[in-house]
Amino acid sequence: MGKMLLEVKNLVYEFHLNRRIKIRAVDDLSFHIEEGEVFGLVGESGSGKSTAARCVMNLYRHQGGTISYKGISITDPKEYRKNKKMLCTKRQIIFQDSSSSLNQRMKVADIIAEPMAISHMTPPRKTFRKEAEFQLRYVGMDASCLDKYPWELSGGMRQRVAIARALAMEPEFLAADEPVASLDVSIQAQILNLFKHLQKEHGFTFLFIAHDLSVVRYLCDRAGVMYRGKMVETAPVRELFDNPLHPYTKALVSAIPVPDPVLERKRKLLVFDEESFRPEGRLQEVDRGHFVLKND
Amino acid sequence: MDKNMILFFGKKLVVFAVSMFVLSLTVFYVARFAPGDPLVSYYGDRVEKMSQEEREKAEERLGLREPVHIQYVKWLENAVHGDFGISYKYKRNVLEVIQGRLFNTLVLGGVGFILIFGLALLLGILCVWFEERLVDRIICQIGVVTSCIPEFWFSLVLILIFSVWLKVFPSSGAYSMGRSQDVGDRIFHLILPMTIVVTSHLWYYAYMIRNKLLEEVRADYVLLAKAKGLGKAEILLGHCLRGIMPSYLSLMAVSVSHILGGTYMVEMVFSYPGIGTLSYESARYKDYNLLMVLCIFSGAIVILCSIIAQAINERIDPGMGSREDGR
Repeated sequence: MGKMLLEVKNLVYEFHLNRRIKIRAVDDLSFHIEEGEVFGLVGESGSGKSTAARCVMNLYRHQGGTISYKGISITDPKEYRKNKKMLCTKRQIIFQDSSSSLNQRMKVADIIAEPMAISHMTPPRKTFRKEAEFQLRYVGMDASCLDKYPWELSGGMRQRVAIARALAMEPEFLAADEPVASLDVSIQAQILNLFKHLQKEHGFTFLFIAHDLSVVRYLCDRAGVMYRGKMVETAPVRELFDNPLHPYTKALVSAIPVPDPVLERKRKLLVFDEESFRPEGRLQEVDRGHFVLKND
Repeated sequence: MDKNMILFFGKKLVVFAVSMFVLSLTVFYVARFAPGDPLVSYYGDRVEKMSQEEREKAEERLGLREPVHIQYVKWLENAVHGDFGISYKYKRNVLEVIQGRLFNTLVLGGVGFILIFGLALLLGILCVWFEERLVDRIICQIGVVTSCIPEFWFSLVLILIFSVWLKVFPSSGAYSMGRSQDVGDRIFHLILPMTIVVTSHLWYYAYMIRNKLLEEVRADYVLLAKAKGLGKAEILLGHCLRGIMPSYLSLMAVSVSHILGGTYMVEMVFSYPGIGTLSYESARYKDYNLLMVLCIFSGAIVILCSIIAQAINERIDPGMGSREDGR
């Protein structure tokens, strides 16, 4: 077992729609990520994955629970301010919608260089422009894109720019919020392979959010399944897919299409009964590293 | 200047010329066909005592007996040479009549315009900064109320309060008798009309800016900027404001007509000697030549401003400019 990098304990986040209506997007969520690990977070739309990631990145103010990063409690405003510079440079995030996560009025070179300029980093390759060019090449684009605006690029290229921007900071921790969901399948494969390659080379820790289970199976070491703001099951990926224990996970796994037509016809779709879901209960370890939400 | 620039300005110039031609033609015809007697504004009460023969002679003298299209061609010929004719009512060259009053309107409209857009931007930013908090809510409430009050009624209320009851500000005119060179006195006279011009338009634009900015603030790149460690002010002013600037500038240019119309209204209520009151009079008394010049002038400003807005937009907004000559 490696060193603990990120630990989330009993995280709660509520959206206040108005004075009376609240939506509890993340409800008593706990998980941890070890150094150098790729942790996948799966669940249906609205299950609180993105909210959890944004809390982890200090973009949303959490309403309960604690998050610690390398032993620093980042949910404590004082601690956060003290380590702000380190936290802002060493943790990076990639969003799903690349057209909205890149400022439409900035050129690609400026987009990639801005985080470095803000943190007063001296780029290893002399100028910001050289550095941006290097990062672009690294993610498989050529230098002719440096002076383009985001709207001149295709979706896959934009996502690569977003990745290059994150990588330019040489992060230790990268959160990717459904980075491939808005791309078509062939580009998804390219980007996923890029991620896999980069992760191997840099060895950064990766929080990968997806709603596509096969993507998680391909990329991640360990995965957690979220449902209605709760973590229902976490386990090493192989264990999770071969031996799902929670009824929701079972239903999810049964929904993965199989590329073999003979097997695909035999695949039985399990339906998860929403009424039977009980949010109360605790995560309990059933096997080594395999936790399931159980009601006592 | 390279060839592209000449082509660019040439195109704009053609658009401007065609628009002006259509405008002048329309106004000319509409004015001629509207009911009313232009002789009244030239001869005054004497018209009633004129015989049919005298009337015909008078119309002949003013060039009103020919078919309308010939009148228009003659007018256009003279106008191109800079001769816009005389005002029937003032019996002077129309340009002379306008000269003194134009300045008054430009001061009222121009300063009002700058104030409106400066304050609107400020209020918009303030609202977004304190989004959904007390400051934002108070500004929104007050804004909605002020923008709903009709300006002529609001002007009368202000005149009642400040001129009749409190006797602080004058109720009409641009300057006191014999003090037309006194800047202080002019400013003093401007305060009430300016208040109306600004309050009646301010919220409309502030609200647009607020909405545009909020849209921009919701985009993911703002979250990302936050994650990079940028402060709220830098994100809002450096990133988001730049995003709304093209729409803000085009809004400014398009609103020239809106605000110009507003000043005309205010001029009427405050009997402010600008071209607003003059336009109203000339339309009412069929002072054709004066009316034409005023319409051409107002129209030229409006058309010019929209062309400028478009040009600015093409320069600032990368999405509009380079697409045309790029690929």
